[in-house]
Amino acid sequence: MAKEYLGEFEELILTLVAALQEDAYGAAIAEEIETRLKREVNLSAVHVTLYRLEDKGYIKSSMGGGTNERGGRRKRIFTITSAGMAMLKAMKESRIELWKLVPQLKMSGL
Amino acid sequence: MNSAVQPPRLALKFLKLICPEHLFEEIEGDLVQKFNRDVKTIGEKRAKWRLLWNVIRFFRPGILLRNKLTMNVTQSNMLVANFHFTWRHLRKQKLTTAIHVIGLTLGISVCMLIALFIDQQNSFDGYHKNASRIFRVNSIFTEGGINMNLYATPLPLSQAIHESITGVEHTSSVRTLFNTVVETAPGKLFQEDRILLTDQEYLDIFNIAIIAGDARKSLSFPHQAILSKSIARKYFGDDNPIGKTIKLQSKFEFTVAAIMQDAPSNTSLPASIILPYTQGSELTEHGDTWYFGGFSWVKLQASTYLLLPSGGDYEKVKSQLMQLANQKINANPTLNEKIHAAFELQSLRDIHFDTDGFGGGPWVSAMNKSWLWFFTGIGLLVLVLACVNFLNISTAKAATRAKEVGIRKSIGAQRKQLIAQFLCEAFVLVSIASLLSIVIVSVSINFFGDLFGPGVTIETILSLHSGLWLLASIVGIVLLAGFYPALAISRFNLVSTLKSSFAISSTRGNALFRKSLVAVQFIISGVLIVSVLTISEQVRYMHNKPLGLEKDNILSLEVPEIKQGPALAQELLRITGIKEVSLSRSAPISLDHWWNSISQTASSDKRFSVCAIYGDENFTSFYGLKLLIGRTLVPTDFIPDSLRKATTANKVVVNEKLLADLELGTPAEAIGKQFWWGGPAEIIGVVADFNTEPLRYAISPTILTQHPDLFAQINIKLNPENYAVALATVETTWKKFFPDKVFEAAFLDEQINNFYQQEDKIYNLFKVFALLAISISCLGLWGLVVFITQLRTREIGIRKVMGASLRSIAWILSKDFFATVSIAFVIAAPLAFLLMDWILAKVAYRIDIGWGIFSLAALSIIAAVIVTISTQVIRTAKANPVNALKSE
Repeated sequence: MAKEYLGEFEELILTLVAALQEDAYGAAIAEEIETRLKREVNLSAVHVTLYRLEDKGYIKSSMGGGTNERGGRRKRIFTITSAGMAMLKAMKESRIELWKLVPQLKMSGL
Repeated sequence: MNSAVQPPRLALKFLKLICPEHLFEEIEGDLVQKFNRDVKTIGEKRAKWRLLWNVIRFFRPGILLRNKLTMNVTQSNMLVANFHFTWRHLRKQKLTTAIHVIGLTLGISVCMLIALFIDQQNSFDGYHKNASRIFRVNSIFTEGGINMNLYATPLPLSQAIHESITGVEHTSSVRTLFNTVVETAPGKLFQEDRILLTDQEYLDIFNIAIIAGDARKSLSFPHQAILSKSIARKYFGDDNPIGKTIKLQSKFEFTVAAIMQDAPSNTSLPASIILPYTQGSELTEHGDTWYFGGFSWVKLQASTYLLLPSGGDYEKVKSQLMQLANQKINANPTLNEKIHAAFELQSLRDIHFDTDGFGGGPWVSAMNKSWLWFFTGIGLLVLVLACVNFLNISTAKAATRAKEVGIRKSIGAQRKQLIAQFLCEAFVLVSIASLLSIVIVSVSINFFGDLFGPGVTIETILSLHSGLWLLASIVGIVLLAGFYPALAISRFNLVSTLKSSFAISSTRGNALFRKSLVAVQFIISGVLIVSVLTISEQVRYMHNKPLGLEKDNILSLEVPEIKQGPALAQELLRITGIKEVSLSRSAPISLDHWWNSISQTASSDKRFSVCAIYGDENFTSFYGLKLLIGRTLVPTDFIPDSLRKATTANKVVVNEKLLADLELGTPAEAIGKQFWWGGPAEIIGVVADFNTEPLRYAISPTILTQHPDLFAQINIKLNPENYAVALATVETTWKKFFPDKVFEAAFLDEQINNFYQQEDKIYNLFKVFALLAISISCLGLWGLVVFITQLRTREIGIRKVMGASLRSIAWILSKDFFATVSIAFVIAAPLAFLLMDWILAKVAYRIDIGWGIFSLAALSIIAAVIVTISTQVIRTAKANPVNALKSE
């Protein structure tokens, strides 16, 4: 793995940016975390993480359109960069490598 | 969108303030989107709260630090200019500046001192890394409705915890010794009060900083000692203490194996020597032990401390301890059936504040938490006084700045900028005052050190964490004191400020407001004065109340070898100047009495706690206890245990309270009657009630009895005429008997005065703070008077020309102030009464808060007001009217 290191929450956000594609902006990501992972998350935490990932060069952003629901305010749409994609892949692979080391658990009986 | 609920505007405004511009739109958008969805799912009200909370959560470094701190040229110029204007203004108005600075400095200094004191108290025992997981096991022995709360625990407890209790990481027994003689070289003796006996696990539970040697190893050997740094220096000077030998009680030798850092001031266990704890050793028996029967589980000696693992289950450990108490103590057939034992777990951090239950421990007495609240209250009140001063004088002076405001407005100043300017002034003043306060506090800390107890130092203020506090407080004070004046002054109407009639009219409008502020100040001062007078009266009462016994010129010495007592007494009586001598276990009034339980008969359920005082045949007359009827004890009343049969009654003298509690009738009827005191006891005499404890406590049933084996104290009545000579002779005589012991003598009246140390301390602190509070109020009043008399110069001039007398002018100038202060006092008096009544309610012997205190308080306030305003009023009244009328 590269020198750079991603925290658990950072990795989560990065994955979601990659997954949501055109629809990756702060509120949507937060909502996705809450509905899919059933995990309480604060909007400010999501934003701060997004900006940090942008600083690290894993994602880039551009201003998108506004909707009525947002009182006409524009969204900032995040897209994953190739560096971000590489990072994500590297992390996934290292996880799998490690997972292989775990002895197969017997699921039956205690 | 139009029909939708609007998100709270203020929250978004706050967001705009903290959020970098380039991120604002999208964050706001996200928040609004979330808000609109929340409105549908959880309702409007909760959605609004949630939005507010979300906005507040954006106040974090990840967002704040993305702000580029830019300031355009105008802004930075104005900031510099504001400081410039402030400086000019402060220099021009020297008097006002001085009043502001002095008032604020006093207020902030008081707050700082109080904050230091409270910080020190609150930090008690918190420095141990595992403080939140450390618990003390306390024992509760109940006998016929009387609870005995002890921090000592049964001898086998810690062993039993090791063996049978789960969920405990470490257990340690801790025993403390007092009055131990330490010999470091032949003839070089020291008296040590802070010796701690314990085991190795003590070091696992508590953080003890070891400087040299292996502490853990030393506690596993029976004859090695750990000394604190300063004790090592005291004993051995600059020599290397490791390997040196110390001898305790001239018998037990220990080798110094390790040196530890001195205990901090905020610990409940400030040991200066740590030794290994060996149960049953003669040295160990030297300290306090409590007995509730004949088997080892009811012999209470060391305290037990536990360290629970992180995430440990407190309740589970507690219930296991309860089981242990039931199994080992309550189920024991030899235990008196009226006794019931239980264990409690008390968190280490609670120990210092436990004044009612188990107490702070053997060395540091517990602090009543309500005193901390009390002082916090006083600190805040004093700060409010200082702020009110500032507010009041600034508003009063507003008129003089009206023209300045008018001109600034006319050349285009916005109101916001004016507010900024006035806040800048307040900021500079408060900052100067804070810096001065730091200086004052660092200089006076030594004086207050005596009042607070050691350990409160200036370093605490200068530490980072309090630096942040200080900054926050400065901002708070600036807003509290400066915001209203800034608002009021900047509100002035442009046109009217430039008209010459402005000054007078605007002052009238604000008069009521300012009067109310003065009233508030004097309400606070009034409450403080009444409280100080009440407490001073109470403290004086406690020191001087007749106790029903003689306490003057009585000197007490220890008798280290009890068998030598009578011979020593004979020898001492030969010294000229010594009139009487008595042997006893303790003085009749002491913190160290033995407490037992009594009842009418062996089988009656109603038990009373009784204070048992052991003294020889001279004891009653020596201490001037008043015998009401019967006779006092004679040596033949004492029957040694070896000759005693179970039915033999112990002959005792009792007090009236005991007769009342046990319903034994009048003193005359009671003579010859028996009651139950662990065995039969027969009343041979009755003495009038006397205080056996500090006056916080009511008189309890008391027994006077004798037991020569317990007479570890010899009391001498000195002739006051040749004190010094007698004292010297007493020491040489005592030394002849006990050459290898440290001579220590204490006068009874001094000991009694020491009972009230905490009260004295609190009174002294309170006195200082109240005095400062009143000074601040008077300072503010004075500033106001100076200003108002200036405003009325012309009015006074005209009055004088019309023939008004000096006296009537003085009255006209000052009557308003007297009226305000009187109203304030009328409000303050009942408040103070309720407050003091509440505080004194807990004390057994208290004064009545009478009219005397209130009249004295009223007089002193009036005197303070007169002193404050008289010079200025008289000067104005005396001024030549020509000058007053000429000036424009």
